[in-house]
Amino acid sequence: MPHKYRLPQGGKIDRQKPIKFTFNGVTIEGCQGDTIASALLANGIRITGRSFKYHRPRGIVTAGIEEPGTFVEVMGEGRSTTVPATMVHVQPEMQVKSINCWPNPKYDLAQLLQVFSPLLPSGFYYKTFFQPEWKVFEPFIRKMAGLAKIPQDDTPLQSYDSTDTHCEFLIVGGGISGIIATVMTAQTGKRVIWVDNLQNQHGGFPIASADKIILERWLQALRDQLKGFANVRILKQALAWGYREQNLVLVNQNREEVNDVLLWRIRARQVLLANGCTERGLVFPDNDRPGIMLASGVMKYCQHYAVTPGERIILYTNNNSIRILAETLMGQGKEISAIIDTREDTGQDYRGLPPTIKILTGYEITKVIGWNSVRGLIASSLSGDDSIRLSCDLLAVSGGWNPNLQLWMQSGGAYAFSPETATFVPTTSLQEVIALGMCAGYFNPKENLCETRKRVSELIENLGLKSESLELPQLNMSEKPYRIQSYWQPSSTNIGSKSFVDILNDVTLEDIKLALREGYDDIELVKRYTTLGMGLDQGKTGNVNATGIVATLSGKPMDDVGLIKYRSPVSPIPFGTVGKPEGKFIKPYRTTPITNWNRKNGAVLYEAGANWKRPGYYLLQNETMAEAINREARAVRNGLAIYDGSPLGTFEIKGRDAAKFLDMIYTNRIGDIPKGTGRYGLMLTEEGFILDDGVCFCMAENWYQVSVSTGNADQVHLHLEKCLRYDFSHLEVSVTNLTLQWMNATVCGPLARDFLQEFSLDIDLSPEKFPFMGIRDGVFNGMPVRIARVSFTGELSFEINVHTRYLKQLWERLISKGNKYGITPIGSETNHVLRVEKGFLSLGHEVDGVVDPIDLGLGWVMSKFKKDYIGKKAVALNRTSHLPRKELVGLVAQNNDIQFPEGAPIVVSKNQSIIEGHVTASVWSEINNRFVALALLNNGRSRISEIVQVRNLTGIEKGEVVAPCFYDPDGKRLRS
Amino acid sequence: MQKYSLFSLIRNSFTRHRNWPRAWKSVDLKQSYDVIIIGAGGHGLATAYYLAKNYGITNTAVLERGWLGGGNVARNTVTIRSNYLRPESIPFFVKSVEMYEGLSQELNFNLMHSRRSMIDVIHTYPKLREITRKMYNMDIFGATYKPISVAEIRRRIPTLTGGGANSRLPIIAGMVHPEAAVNRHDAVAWGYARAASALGVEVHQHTKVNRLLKNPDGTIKGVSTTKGDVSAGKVAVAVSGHTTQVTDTVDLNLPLRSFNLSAFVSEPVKPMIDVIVNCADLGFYLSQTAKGELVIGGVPDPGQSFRRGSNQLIFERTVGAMLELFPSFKKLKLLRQWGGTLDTAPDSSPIISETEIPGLFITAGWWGGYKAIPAGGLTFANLIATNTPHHLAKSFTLDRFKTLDYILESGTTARV
Amino acid sequence: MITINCPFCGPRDEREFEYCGPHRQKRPDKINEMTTSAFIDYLTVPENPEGEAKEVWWHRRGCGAWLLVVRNTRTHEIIKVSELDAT
Ligand SMILES: Cc1cc2nc3c(=O)[nH]c(=O)nc-3n(C[C@H](O)[C@H](O)[C@H](O)COP(=O)(O)OP(=O)(O)OC[C@H]3O[C@@H](n4cnc5c(N)ncnc54)[C@H](O)[C@@H]3O)c2cc1C
Ligand SMILES: [Zn+2]
Repeated sequence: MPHKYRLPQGGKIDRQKPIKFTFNGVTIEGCQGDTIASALLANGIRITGRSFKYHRPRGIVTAGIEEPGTFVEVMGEGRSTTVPATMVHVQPEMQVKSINCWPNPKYDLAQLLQVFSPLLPSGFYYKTFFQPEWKVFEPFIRKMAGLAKIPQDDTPLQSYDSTDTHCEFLIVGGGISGIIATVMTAQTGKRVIWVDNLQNQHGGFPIASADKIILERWLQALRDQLKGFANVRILKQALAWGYREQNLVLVNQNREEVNDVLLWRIRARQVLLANGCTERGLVFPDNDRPGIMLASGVMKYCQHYAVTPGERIILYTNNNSIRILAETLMGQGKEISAIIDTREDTGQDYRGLPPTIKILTGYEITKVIGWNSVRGLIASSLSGDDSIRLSCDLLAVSGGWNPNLQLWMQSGGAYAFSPETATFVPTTSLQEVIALGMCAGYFNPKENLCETRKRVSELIENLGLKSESLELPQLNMSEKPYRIQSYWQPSSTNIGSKSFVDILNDVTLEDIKLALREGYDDIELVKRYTTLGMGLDQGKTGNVNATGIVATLSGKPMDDVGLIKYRSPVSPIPFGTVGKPEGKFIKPYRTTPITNWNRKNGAVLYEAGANWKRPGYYLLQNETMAEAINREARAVRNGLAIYDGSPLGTFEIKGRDAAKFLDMIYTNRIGDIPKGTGRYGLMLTEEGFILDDGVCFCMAENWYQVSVSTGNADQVHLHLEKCLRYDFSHLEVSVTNLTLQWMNATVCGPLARDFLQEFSLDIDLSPEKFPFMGIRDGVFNGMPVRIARVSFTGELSFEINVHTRYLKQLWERLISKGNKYGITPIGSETNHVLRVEKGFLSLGHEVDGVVDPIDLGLGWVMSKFKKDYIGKKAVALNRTSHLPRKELVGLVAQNNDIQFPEGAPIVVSKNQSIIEGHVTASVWSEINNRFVALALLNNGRSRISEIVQVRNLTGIEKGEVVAPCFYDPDGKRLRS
Repeated sequence: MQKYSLFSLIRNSFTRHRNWPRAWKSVDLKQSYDVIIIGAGGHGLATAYYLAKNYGITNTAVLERGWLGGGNVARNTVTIRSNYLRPESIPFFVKSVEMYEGLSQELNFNLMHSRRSMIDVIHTYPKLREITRKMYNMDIFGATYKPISVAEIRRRIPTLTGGGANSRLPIIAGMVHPEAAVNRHDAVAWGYARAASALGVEVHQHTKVNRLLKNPDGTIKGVSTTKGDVSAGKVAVAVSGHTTQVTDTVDLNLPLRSFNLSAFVSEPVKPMIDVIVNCADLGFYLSQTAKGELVIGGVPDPGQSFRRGSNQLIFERTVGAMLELFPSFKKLKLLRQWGGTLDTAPDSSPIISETEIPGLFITAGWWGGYKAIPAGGLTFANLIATNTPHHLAKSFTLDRFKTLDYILESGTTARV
Repeated sequence: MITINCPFCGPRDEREFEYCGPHRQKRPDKINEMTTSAFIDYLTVPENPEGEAKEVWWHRRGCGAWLLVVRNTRTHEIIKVSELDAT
């Protein structure tokens, strides 16, 4: 019979709109507005899942995000991972599956495991499973673990987005104090954001129905009033889940209208936490049986979903908030058979209830009857002289109320135990945040109203702002203050039962006792040893009880024991909301104006540092990579080639002290570079590490242009700026990054000059007028150009720099006219081969963090005349060390067919683990018709012609140490 | 020490586990010890254990300001590996990984040590070059790094569906490190504490060292704690991110900077990844625990910090990087996140060293130091007991800074 | 994720800035005359306070200013931001 437990009227569900879904394959009917949990309860389904460790039957416990009892997987399209059944609204044709059980929760096979439960106290796995070895057992354990499967389908049924904003006041929480705080702060005229928090939508502290009506009417009026404020933004259906430094609050908003989740990063001057409170359970034997629920859950199902999942109802409590539930249920015509209260003295709390209700004060539950569902219980007096058996099919429990401290704790706020309310309440804050209302420990609605108004108006006043005074409603039924007496654990437990402190993670009272007995005596050690509070719910209904138990057992004050730390997020959130797979945009890459030309002409492009994508080589039809590189290399050495050198970092250094500045930056002399020429230079860090090598040109007096390696441009920029703003701020210099302003096409090869002379160009290219390392401005076929005679290949070359907008035009002209010279575009792989042939250094290869310029044969670049430059002192100091120097050498294999692998170590002998160097680069040299390599070798320069041993994974290959240059050692060609 | 075994578990189940003894003793703090170790983290506890076991030094107190193992040892992502670059580092980490493998038996405590290959997913050529060089160097010291194809990466990690040919940074290569492992961090701290305690070592929780004390002749005298002054001939600082907070009290100048490193876990899901996935180019790594949670880590926060938290920017970038390779994880949920305070030397390599104050020793600069706990403890104990560095750790002394002989494990210059 | 109040641009997100290390003493003019140990301390020993730390941030993706930021390393609260005055 469907909807057996649905009340005939009331609730916020739509009885006219039935919704059918399946639960473990069985079709269930709910109504529009139902959650999975409320629909299951309405249909009398008790066992909704199995527990994680013991596979005990479990039911629904609460109606909110604190749910520890029932987790499900939603299958089919738009699959979810594990979610609490209380948080998902039913939808037509939804397929819902319980977790931790097979084939279904009622007849779960693994429940046989319960037989072994005496062997599974907390931490049992630390004591066993390691003989002979953990790996024998691990596969079985792993299989049992985990909850849902990860959804494999990529259907973007829900999309994710994020946005940033800021405000003066951020109010978290949609309850009484949240609304009051929003209205009051709104009146200041400042920007206000109100998060109508999902966290406290489970009902919160109960309010007598007469008062509730008054209050709701009043709150509605306030809500209406808010519509008139343009400075208030309301985030509905939102969960504030993270609280970071500098008052950054993270909120996920479910925007059903557009079917997405929006992450808000809200930076607030002042945060007001009004995110309510959560009820906790009581610890007693077998308190996890289906049919045992938290009172607040029963209340919410009754009022909101019109479901009362039982006929014979017993209430169990240690505080007076349960009375309102009794009245509410009676108001729905339900029968309460008993109220069991652990307090001896309940004062007037139950006065005026009908005599049919048995009131047992000073009693505790010592036994629960029923396996798959609660059927009754035994209550015993605390004095131990009486016990009574009662039957019931629903047991509603209230162990008291806890402020929702999750965000408060994340903000760094302190908290302390309040004996009157038997819970932890916020005390001093670390950031600009206050807690309000129930979140501050004011549970009674009347008190809540007054205290909230007081605190908010104080806050507004302290900030020098104004708001109107707020008239509070009269709540006559709420005169009685909240009264509670701590009850942390049953006075005795019987063998065979389990008293759960953390229902989700199957952690019992005995587990905590064992932890303490074994010396795991800090609450955080208890947590880790027993896994208490480490589940999906982060122990929202159990953690305070755990503290109470530890305090009682160890005789320590509650404050000394403290609370288990809640961590972000308040409740699990999908990764999709915080990070996006950005595909092509993850690090947007830079292109040059001829990237498209490159693509069309067979270029193989890849990441080349600093987010440039760059041709490695150009593949002609039927060519292998090696063939392509060799073809390109031949073109450079024998004919004409062209290279897109645009990504090269280019900086302009200007100002009266430019030379002085550069003389500190570079190791060599800059001040005496003649106008119109450049000089190769090295930059070191103050610690003596090589930061960059490049060329510095003097354009005119006090005007220099430096070019630096592509991948290093950003770092060099930072270095130059830092030096300038920090250490040499007294100098009058400016540094401008022109990397994207100057693009270049580098024309190289022995035919380069002849070729360029075919164009209209007002620069004399003859070696006399335009020698190596010269730089000239001119006009090339109508385009303003700056041509530099630098060479990274060791061949005659002209770097033609133009403004970005001319590069394509320049490139196409060069290519079309160059056809008759066999002009060949080349990529960075070929460049690499050619520079290795020349022994030019490359930062990513030869610079290793242990070498200095002298090691690399660049001692001549370290000026002896300059008293000081960055890195000079460090290099000198490092050279006093006794460690051998790693020096750059060339290396050729004794066996001509061998290519030494890049990165392979040079060892003293095959069997000794002494590394004396390594191969830094190794290429096929087309011009030499053999493999050649560069290496760093201990004291290598004095070991030329020695035979050394290169170790690869299969053995040793012998090589001869040679000078690190395999082509044109005198540099005639590049100067030609 | 009562032996832990299946047998003892069964036997104790008859008495409903009411007779298990304390895992470590609880005694009052004495006024003097032979050795004081500050910090009951992995390194502090392991050091105490090896001092007792290898050198018979048992009159030792480990002083912990919070609870045992509550620092980084409880906050890290338990990646254990020996894929280092420099010959100064590799043998040390190889030893540590080896020691971990037999440690459950040695300590009689299940560390749930589990070999999981680590797969490096490589997107750029410079990274490939660096890792290839590691491969050759590791081979010399008996550690393994094996190249694997992109197809093989995808076969072994079926959920890794991103990083294809059309992505911004396609995967170009992979490398497997079969010796890599994960285990249970708390168990490492508890196992060492229990074994050390059985040898006579005292562990004092909630005993914060406020100050170091010196003798008039400049040697170490002891420490001043929240529970009073305690003297010792030798004091060893093993406080991870808080080293300078302790050593500043005697005006030591150390090349250390503290920072925050964070991590996070997902909700538990059924087993789907049985390797450690590391992607340095995008900046994240992950593995799946025996409980089914994915443990995910990224790069440190910028700037110095003693706030153990999560920088939202770094967090979002790490998640973004993960989703780049594992797009189906977007529905997977974040369960918990946290951070830890670590410290680092300018070259990012560790420091296991005596100091200019005779009798004062430090182990510091550990920011991938979980894997190093066994070898770190072993070598630090050796240094404390014999006043000479262990051969595996001889390059990790403070002396290297005197001549700027940095041991750079990645990159070619020091940190900014 | 922090917000830095650039004296020129107003409060801006961390994403616009680049962290450029802890504040240190300006490079000594006579670095050559420094003793080795003073030089090594200058190079390798940063201030590492648990509390107010001075650090240098560059508004790289903003106005380009170099800023001296006083930040509490325990709370990440920013106490003061000013233009880097390296004198
Ligand atoms: C998020 C994260 C992920 C990580 N991932 C890995 C990883 O995958 N692999 C890896 O190898 N490493 C990893 N690490 C690093 C690793 O955790 C640390 O390097 C290592 O734990 C540090 O050594 P420890 O265990 O001794 O430190 P800790 O456990 O931090 O021990 C130091 C102890 O000293 C105590 N202490 C501090 N000051 C005082 C005082 N004044 N008096 C008394 N006691 C004091 C602290 O409370 C603490 O308990 C990670 C770290 C973090 C934060
Ligand atoms: Zn600015």
